[in-house]
Amino acid sequence: MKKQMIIVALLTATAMSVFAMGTKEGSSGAAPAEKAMTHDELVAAARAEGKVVVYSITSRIAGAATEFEKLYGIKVEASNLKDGELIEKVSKEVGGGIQGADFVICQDSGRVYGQLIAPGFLTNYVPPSMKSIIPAQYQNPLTFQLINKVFIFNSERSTAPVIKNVWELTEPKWKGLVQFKDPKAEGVNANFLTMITSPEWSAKLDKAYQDLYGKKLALTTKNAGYEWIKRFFQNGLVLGNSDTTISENIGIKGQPQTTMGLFVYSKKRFDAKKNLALEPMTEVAPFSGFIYPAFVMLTKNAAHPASARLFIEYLLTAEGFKPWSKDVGSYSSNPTIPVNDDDQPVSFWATRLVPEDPQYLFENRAAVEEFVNNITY
Amino acid sequence: MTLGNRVRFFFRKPHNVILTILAVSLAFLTLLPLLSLLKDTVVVHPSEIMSVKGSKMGDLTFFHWKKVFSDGETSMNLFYKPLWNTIRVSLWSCLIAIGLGGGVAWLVTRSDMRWKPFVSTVFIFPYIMPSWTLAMAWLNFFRNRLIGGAPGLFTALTGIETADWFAYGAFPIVVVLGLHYAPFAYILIGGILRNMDANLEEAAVILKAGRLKILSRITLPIVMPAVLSTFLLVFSSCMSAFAVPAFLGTPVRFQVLTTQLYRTLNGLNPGYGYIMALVMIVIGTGILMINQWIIGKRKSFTTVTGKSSNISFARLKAMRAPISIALVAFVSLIAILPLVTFAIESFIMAPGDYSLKNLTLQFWVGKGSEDIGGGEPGILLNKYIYLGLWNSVKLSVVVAFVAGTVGALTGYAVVKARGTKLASLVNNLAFFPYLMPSMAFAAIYLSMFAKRNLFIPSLYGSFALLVLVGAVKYLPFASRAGMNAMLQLSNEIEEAGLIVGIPWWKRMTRIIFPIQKSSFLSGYLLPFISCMRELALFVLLIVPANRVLTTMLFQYNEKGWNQYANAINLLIVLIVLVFNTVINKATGASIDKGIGG
Amino acid sequence: MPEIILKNVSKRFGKFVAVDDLSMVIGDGDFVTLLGPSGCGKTTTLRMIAGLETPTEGEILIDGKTVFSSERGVDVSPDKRDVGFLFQNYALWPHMTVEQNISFGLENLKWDKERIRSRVAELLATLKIDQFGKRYPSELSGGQQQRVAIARTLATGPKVLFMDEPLSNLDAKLRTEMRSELKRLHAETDSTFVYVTHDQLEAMTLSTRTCLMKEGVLQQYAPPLEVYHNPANLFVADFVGSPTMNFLEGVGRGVNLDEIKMSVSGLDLLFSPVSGSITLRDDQPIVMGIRPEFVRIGETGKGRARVYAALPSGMETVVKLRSGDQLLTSVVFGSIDYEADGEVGFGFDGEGCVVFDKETGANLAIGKLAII
Repeated sequence: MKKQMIIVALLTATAMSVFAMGTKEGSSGAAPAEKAMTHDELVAAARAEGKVVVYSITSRIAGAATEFEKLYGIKVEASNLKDGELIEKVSKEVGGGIQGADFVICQDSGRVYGQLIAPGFLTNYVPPSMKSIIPAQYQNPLTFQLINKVFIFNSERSTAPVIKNVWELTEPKWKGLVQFKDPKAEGVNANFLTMITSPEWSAKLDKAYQDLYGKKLALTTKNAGYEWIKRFFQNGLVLGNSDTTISENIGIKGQPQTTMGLFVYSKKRFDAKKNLALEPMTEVAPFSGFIYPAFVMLTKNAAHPASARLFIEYLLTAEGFKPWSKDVGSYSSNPTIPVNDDDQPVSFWATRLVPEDPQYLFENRAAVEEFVNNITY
Repeated sequence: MTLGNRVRFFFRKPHNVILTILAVSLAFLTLLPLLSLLKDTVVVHPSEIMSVKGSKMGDLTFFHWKKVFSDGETSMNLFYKPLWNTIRVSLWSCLIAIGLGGGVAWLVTRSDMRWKPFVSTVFIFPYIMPSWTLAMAWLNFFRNRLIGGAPGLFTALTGIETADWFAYGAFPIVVVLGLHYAPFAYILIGGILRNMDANLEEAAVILKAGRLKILSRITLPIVMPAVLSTFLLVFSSCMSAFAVPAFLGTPVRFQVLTTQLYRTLNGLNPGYGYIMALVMIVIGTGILMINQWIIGKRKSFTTVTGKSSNISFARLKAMRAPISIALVAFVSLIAILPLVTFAIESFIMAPGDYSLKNLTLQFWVGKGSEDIGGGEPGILLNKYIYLGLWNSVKLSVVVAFVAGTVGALTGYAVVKARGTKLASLVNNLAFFPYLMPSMAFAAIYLSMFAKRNLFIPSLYGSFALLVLVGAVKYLPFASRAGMNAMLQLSNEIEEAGLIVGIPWWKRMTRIIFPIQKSSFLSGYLLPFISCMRELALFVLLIVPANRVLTTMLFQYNEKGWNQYANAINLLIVLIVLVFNTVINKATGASIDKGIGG
Repeated sequence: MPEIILKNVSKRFGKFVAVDDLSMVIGDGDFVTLLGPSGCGKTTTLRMIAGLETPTEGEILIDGKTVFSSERGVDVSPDKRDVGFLFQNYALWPHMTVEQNISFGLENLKWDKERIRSRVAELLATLKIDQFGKRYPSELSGGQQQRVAIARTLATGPKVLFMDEPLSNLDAKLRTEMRSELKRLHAETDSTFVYVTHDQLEAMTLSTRTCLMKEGVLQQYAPPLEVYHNPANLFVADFVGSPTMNFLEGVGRGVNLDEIKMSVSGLDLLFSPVSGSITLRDDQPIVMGIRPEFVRIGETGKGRARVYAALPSGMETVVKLRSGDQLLTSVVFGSIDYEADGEVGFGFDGEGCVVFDKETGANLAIGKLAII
């Protein structure tokens, strides 16, 4: 008991210190020392730099880069990295005083806060033109876009939703038929698992169990969140390394049984192009998937700060966001950019998906990963 | 004699100068990393502030040690089970490798089997090819619906769905590793059988001993120490194999130490990974020491000399044709069929559909379309592939040049100063990288050289770092080749030049090197080939500007762009085979000289 | 002219002492052999003089010039010592033709091409290998390879020539032939030769002086015949001469001023020194050394023995005799076949028998021996 108290105290202390640091760094980043430049001055400064380097978790940055190069004549070096890779790289480079990226598009909020924002490796920058447009909640750190992963099933036989409750996935009828991205391969998946162990979501899961089976959930683990994870994983869950592969595996036609997966909603676009049969489910209790932010931030030691700022501003415009908005499953933090015609607005998804809470993630992610490791590996 | 004079006399000998330079630089490049590794097991890394509660980056902690070794279920899953899996898989792979490699070695050196040249050439292929080649081929053939909707060729052809245990996990890993290292066993055991004095067997023939009796009572006991030593070397190679278990084990979450190492180093707890790396180094060192002990103890046995000019081959009689045909078929199966599957896989549009209308050249010469592989053009039109190819070749050439040259100098200096403490120190230092798991080695170099280190500027993301890590990692091959070359060369050969006043560099370039050309060149060839097909060593160090073919292959594979991956793999294998064959034919250098010895 | 002086030269490999405090002078034009069993330090000594090995202590002078001194920190490299070295295994460079082997060193001395060509031709002619100039070493017989190696060594005209068991790889017939070639070469080239061998016959037949070593320590340095007839100690006496010297162990007793009496397995012997005198302690253990040619077989001999074995070789016959439990070797000129186990008489001849102290092995006196 006493030990637990100490741990709790430590946790709180860590969290507080991290967030204290976070806000401090954040505020200093948000109000840069130099005078705010006019847009034309910024363009001139950026052209003088002539180049910008960006690390991004989304591969579509390449498309935006081409357009940006055309528009301003500034060369872009864009690298597409996995989220954990990006965090390690930036912390090594900035921490080691190496000039790598000028700005990054990163995800995995728990780690980004703890590993990059808290030590001051990343600084926040909100383009002046966006200050009044982007909602305050997305401004520190500046969110570039929201991304969602949703339960999607093979709709070759029928387009009617195949489950109504996530607990169904722990039943034998779905054994070996569900695919999910390896939480080790991409941090946001581990974040989702972590989030559902929170008091709020485990309560919801508890309730969903009772609603489905009409009886109380018998726990073998800490709470309903852990319990669901355990049963979900132990029901022959197939872990993939790539959302693309999972979408192909699920969507391919002519499978003997209906399969489903929890993966990026944007892969729905392959439906027509790759002749797949994919249908999302939006009414599953208590969640139909999860949603997470991708941040766009400057590095502390950016070699081309003006170009980076210009590019960030560009990415937040409708034109700059085109590579993302032309498909479903990407939602700009700029509310004036309309979502894809076939998609629903963030407000629709917000009530159906599990969001990220950086503080909770920072404190609990390691424990959940260890738990997952123990039941999977 | 005064100390000053003693030092002066000491450094008058070129080999002492070389040894001293090597001792200092190798200590810096191999011992320092080891210390750095030790340190990494007890500090908090950036990503660990989430798990080590209340810590700051760089704090001292025993958290990792506790978690890895004594935290109940966590340690079990994290370390003990993978360790047990590693041992199990390595043991079985060893048995297959030695049974197969030894069997083929016997057939080639001691029997009247037909088509020996073909068998002995092609049987080596799996060892020259990247280690994941057979694993990928296995997946191409036998994958079932577990990982992907599209089943493999086998299911497509026969309609039989492969069982999970057959398609993934321990079984295929054992088979693939066994096949991959069988050539290694073949080279080592074949070398002994070839050098074994035929008189020893002939003496038994004269005493009217039966063939079987000769084999079991004479041949086997004589080659036994070599077999044992082969066993240990294959075991340690299997233990440090990464690509094969990564390809075949991951789908069913079958973990071995190397895959755990990769997972943890790339995950939230690199500290675990560093401890595992340390464990692997300890095991490797232990195995090596046992090996040295065996060789040392039964020296008179293993160094069976004598020119076995005319061996009377064992007559296979009625079995001759069947055995010959079976072996040729088998060798073709493991060496050539994988290449065929890569070709097939790279030509089909939708995975799993092997009908003619599904064939496409898209992934080779296609223009690139938005919906296929993120709009990448076919690999023959893709400038990034050419960049990667150029980088691979450039890197391999430079690494081979550095490792080969340093290895030759090491071999020269160590053999010249044989028996001195300094020589054995350098010898051991030069061999040490062999024991470091590639992945851990790369991770340490990354952390050592990411910052300015002594007089060395930050090498992060530079080509120089790749060269450095490659050269040090492959130095053991090169120095062994160099040492073999020098051991076969009488000291007098050089002294004959020395006495008539030929300067040192000229003795090296005009006398020593030309005489042992093929042995020394083998010291260049092996690093070259290894570098061309290396993945684990570079995967952590590559930045987009200097990516190489193998890391591109790995990326395509991770993204699930199977056809590109197969096409690139085919490209790598062909390049490696062509280079090996051309160099071998032109200079007589061959990879067996580096490992045989 | 080239005179080689070694002063207190030692060489240690770790704890092992290969050469211990060796001092000697090799005179100009000498043909000196370093003789001894394997591991005695003779090759190390040679290599130290040539500069291939660095001594641990001491000083070496060649032609009045200090080429090595541990005190003064001098170590002249081998090529600056103006010496030639003929290696045991010839050390011919297998990737070069005979001509290239010979000319490589000359090219390095920046001789012009014409001069090199004539020098090579001259050497090929001297060593009677002109027809092999374009061949590679592997295409030559052992004897031919040896000649090429000699030619290569002589090419630069060294004043001192070192040879490390150069004949040990040749068959018996070739070896005899090369021996005379070497002796001839020594006469022709007028240089100093230092020659390492473990074959005492080679040392006897070739050298002007022989240096006998054992476990790194100089045993005797003298002309070969002196070594043969007046060995410094038991070891030298035993090592030199074939068949080997007979040794009779016993206890000596001084009689008649400086004569010695001893009895060995039923034989009573009296030893009288030829020059000087000898005194023994009472009951001092001694060893009597008798060269086989001094054991004469004949009915006049006072001793009786049975023939153990007779080994006729044409020119001479070696006869092993058994007297009591003692085996004696005798050499008889001509070929006489003694019947095994036949009884013969024997006696001792000449004035060359040696008395050694058993404990120290030191030569105490030389003289006549008689059976009484």
